[in-house]
Amino acid sequence: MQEISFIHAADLHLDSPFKGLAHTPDHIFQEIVESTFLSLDKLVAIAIKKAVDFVLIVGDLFDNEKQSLKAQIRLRKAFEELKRHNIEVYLSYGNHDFLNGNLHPVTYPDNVHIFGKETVSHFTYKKGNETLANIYGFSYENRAVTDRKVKEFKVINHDIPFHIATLHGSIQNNTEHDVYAPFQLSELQKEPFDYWGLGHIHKREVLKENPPIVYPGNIQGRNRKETGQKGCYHVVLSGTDSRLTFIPLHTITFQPVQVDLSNCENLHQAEDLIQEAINNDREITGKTLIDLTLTGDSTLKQWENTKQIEDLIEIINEMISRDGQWKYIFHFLTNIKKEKIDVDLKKGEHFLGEVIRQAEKMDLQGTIQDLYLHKRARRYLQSVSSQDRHEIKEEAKELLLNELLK
Amino acid sequence: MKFTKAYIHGFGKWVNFDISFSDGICIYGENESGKSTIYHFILFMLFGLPPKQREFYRPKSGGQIGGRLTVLDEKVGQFTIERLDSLRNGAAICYTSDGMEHDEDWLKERLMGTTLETYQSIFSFSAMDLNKITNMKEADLGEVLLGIGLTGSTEIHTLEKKLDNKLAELFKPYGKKPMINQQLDTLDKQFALLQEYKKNEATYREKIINESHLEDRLCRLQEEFQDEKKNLLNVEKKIQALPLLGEYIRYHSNLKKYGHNLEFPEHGETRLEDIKSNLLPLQSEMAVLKGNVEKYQEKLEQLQNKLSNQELYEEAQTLIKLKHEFYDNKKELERAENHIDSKKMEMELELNRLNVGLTFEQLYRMNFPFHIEKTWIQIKNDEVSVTLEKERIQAEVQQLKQERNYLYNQLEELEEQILPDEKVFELNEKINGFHKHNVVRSLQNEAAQKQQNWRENRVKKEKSMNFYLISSLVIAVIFSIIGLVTDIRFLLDISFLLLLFGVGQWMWGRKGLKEMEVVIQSEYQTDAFNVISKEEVQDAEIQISKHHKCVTDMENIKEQLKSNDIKRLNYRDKMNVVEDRYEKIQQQIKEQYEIYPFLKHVDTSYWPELFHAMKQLVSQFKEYTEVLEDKEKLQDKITLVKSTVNEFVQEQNWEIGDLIEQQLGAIESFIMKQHEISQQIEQYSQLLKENKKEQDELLLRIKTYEREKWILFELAQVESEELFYRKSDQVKERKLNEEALDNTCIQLERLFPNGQWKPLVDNIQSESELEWIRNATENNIEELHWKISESQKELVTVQTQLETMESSEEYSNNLHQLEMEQEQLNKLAREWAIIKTAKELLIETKRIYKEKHLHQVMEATSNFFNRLTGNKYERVFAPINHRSFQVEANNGIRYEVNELSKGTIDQLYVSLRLAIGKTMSESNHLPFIMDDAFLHFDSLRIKQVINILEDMSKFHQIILFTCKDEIALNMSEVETVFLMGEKV
Repeated sequence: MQEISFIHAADLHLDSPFKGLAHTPDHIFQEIVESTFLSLDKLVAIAIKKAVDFVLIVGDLFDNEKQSLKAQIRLRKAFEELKRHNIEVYLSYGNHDFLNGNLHPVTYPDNVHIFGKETVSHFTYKKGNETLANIYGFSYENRAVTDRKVKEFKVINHDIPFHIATLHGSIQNNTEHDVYAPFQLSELQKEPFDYWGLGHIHKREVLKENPPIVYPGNIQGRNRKETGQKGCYHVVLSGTDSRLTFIPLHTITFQPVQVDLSNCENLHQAEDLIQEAINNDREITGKTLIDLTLTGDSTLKQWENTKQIEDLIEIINEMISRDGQWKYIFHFLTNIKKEKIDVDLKKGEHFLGEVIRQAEKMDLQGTIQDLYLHKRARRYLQSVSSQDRHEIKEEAKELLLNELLK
Repeated sequence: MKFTKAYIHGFGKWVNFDISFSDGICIYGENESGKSTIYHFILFMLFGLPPKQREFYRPKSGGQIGGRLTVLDEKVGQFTIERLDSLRNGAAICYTSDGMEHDEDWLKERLMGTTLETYQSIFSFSAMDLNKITNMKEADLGEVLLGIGLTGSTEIHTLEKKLDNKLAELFKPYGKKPMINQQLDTLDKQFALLQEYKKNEATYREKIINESHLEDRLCRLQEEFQDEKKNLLNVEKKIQALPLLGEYIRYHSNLKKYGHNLEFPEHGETRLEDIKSNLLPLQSEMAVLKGNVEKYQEKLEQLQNKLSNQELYEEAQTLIKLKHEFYDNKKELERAENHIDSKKMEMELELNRLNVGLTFEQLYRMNFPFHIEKTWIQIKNDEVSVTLEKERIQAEVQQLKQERNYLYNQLEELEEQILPDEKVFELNEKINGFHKHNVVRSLQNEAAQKQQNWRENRVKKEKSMNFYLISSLVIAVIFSIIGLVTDIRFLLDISFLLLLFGVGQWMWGRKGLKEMEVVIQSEYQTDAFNVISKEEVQDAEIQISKHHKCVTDMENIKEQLKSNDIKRLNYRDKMNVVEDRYEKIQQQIKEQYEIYPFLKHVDTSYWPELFHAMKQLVSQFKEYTEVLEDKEKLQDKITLVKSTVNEFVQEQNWEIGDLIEQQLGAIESFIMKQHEISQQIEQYSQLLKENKKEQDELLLRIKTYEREKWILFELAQVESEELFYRKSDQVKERKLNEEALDNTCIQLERLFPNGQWKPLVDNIQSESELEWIRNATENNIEELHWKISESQKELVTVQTQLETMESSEEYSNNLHQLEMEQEQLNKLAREWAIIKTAKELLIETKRIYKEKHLHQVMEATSNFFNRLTGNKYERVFAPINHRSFQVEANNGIRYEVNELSKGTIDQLYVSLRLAIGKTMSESNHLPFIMDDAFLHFDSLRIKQVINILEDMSKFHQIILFTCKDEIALNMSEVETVFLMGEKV
């Protein structure tokens, strides 16, 4: 029985900066900079080790917006390495590395086959003299593809044993991401493809088992929402069977850690608890960027307000970020158990009650425009969402109450 | 709401303490009396306390913390709040009058959103708060008072300030130092850098295109370069070939000159040379050999002349044989002479040593018979023994003489001592007379007995005497016989002595016996005696005994003299015998003297030694004479040789000295010379023979070579050697030409392979023409070379740039950094936004609150202030817009608050606090608690405050803690509790 094996990856986002990291020690920063490339190297190594027939990369290999030559050069080197081992590469560009936005004319070796148009086309994979598979796909020519590209996917030449479709896009009703090349699951199953290799969604997901419809996720998490292991799928297809194995490629993981400090009376205890939580977390293996959520009561609030928590985290970071398998708390959040104080206060005739009542009425727009519309600052600042506004207002209110009730 | 009573189960110093509150109550106690504890207990009952703070109030005696507070509420009526430390972690339980139980939340509802903090800021105040006011800066005072007016606390103003500071720290729209501004600077820098990197990266595309252009160009240039190089090579080859072509043409025409008919043997010249070179040494050798023959013959003749006749030669040889013999004899002769001399010397020495008057010549006749040695020894021994004997006897005789003299002397002495006979008799008579009487009888018996014994003894004695006599005679006879037989004299002497002894003893014995018989028979005749005294007797006895003794001694000496005489006679005889022997020996010695007169010089005792010495001398002398004979013989031999040799020399007439050695040497050298000459003659004749043989061989070889030479000439068709060489030269020249032509062809072929050069022969270009073409081509090449290197440099530059770009991390790093800095900015921005919002919110709330309550509060404040100041001030104005807090005096003049005295400000503060409490309590009737708030008021003010408080207490419960008795005592409408009293 014929069999093909390949690596399915997507959303490499080579050299694209991590989000949400304000500051890291130098050595960690360097590792972050290199992390996506290291993951790519691992992908190559795995492909070689597993001696796969080819590698599929379904869009977003790099970011046009923050395009670095380094990304493409490293990509070329990776492809050259694959070529040395006679492994073919089929790749398409997605919404981040769309064709017209690419500045750098880097030429890839001839084992790389690029879907060069926005209309679906195909390549035929031959092993020796044997024609084994047709691989279908398209690339984004411009930033967005809103057409239902799924309709264009048709199996050509039924004599060929395997038909593999690649598509960079999302399910129609997805709300979390920008919806490009939308499809519905049922549409994918209309044509007799043996494998749907998807891209665009960074969270790994096998949408359907038979035939496999797979989001491999990205190969390296780049912000605190992209937690846990990241990597690619090693796929072996035979006429009757398909075997999928997830292979982690990430170099650094993002990992949320929750610590309850309600029962802490002093910072020492808090430190111990946080250390303990980090050390005992089984999810934390290897180099990890920790997103710490602290739960506690007014004491914690107090520590936060006096920046003691920040200092504490700095101390902890100093300890845990030193060794080879470093850990680093890059972000923390406090979750204060709400006492009923607000509710009670709101009823009062006194000034605090008035503060709470006013805070609810308050409109933030004018308040923060000094900075957010500042000529220089504007271009660096993220736009403030309604969620953000709400949070800001809440924090401002809490700040006032805490200060006034001191 | 009112507090009606409280029960403190345990709280601080209070245990099981009851207190009830009326509408207004003043609780008085001195410092440390527990006022504040009650105050905190009330707060604890209302709002609870975290466990830690609770623990602070645990009674010293231990036990429960907690208690009950009964409250009267307008809505639900009376209810009791109970909190116990051990129960529900200090949470409250409220018991209403209808018997219901309610929890903490219910209590909070009753408190209408009042928290501990708001309660403290509105409904309670203390001296501490007043202190705070006085510490305020003057400029802020208005604001602070406004804040108090609004909230009862000073916090608002402080907070506002703090927020402002924080905002300023974070961001100023046109600032430089605030954090956000600085972060913006960093970002701008990074961004600019990024743009630059980006721009740089954008050139990548251009550079790639450039690179491919350059590569194309380089390729083209290199092709051209190669072409030109080929051209150059061609031209250079042509130039190089030019002389070769000329040569080719020359050789070609040269060859045509030689005919084809040039017969000549292969390598003819060398072969001829070979033959000649072989022939020449042979011929010269021949000449040498012939020359040698003449030389040899001449030499031979000379030698034969020199050679002497054979006879003379042989004679000389026999003579020379004698030479050795002569020398041997001569040596022998010398040795013999030496020997003779030494021998003679030796013997003379020996003779001198002996010193017996013998001379060397006497030795000739000296002879010793075989027995002479023994005779000499015998004489020596006999003489010695006779002399010894003689001496011994003389000594004995001497001794005997002395003995005799001695004995005579003694005898004379004794004769003098002896008593005269009469005397003796007289004495004896005396004694006998005495004894006769006593002893007659016994004497008679004894005499009888004695006679008897005597007879027996006499027989015995006679017997023994006879025995000795006989035995001595016998022994004497035996000894004398032996002595006579053996001729030993002293045995004869012994036998003679024995004889004497035997006869002597017998005669002596006889005499004795006769005497004894007389004695014994005389004994019993002594009868007649006189009686004499005992003493006389004794004396007589002594004299008698002495006399007897002398007589006896004399007898003895006489005896001895007798024996002495006998002995002397004996020795005289002995002496005679010895003298005879001595005479005999002397006779013998004389005989010897006659035979060997030299013995006279020597004592007989040395004769044996002399004999040995003489014997040796004689034998040595014999040897000496033998050697003398040998010597003579040798001398004869030598003289014979000498004469023979001398004769020979005389014959030959050689003029040499007479010395035999010289003559012998001459003969020897003559023989040597002759021998040499004959050897040389033999040698030369041998050489001649060999020479002849060699000449024959050489001749044979010369002929062979000559034949070969002629064969060569025939082949070359010439008659002489000269012609042969001329022909040879011609052949060589032609060959050289041919070779040169071939060589040229090969060289041309090398330059232009496959015969490409052949057309060039017909169409030769001039050198200058070719040179010109070469220069042109070279210039072209140089130009191309330069272009290529330029292009290469350019390409390398571009490639390096590309490589740098490809390997550059700068952009990537910058990108990541920018992202981080941006994140940092956003973080700061959010912090700023929160603070900004808080500040805006605070300001807004303040504005609203002012609108809502300020008017009311100010009204109340004015009222209280008016009363407290005793109508000194009429009104209080809150700050509006730019107008600050003001008060209006009763004369209508307005003062800024900071123009007021400290006391007035205190009053204003108290008024504000009371006013806000009053205002707030209209909707929320919580009791007022004041903790020594009026500590610094004078009595007038206190009275006014008390007035106000009493008024207020009518519709608002007031609890006043104080340590000022003035206040307590001034309370008229208000119930006063004295904590001291309670305690006491």
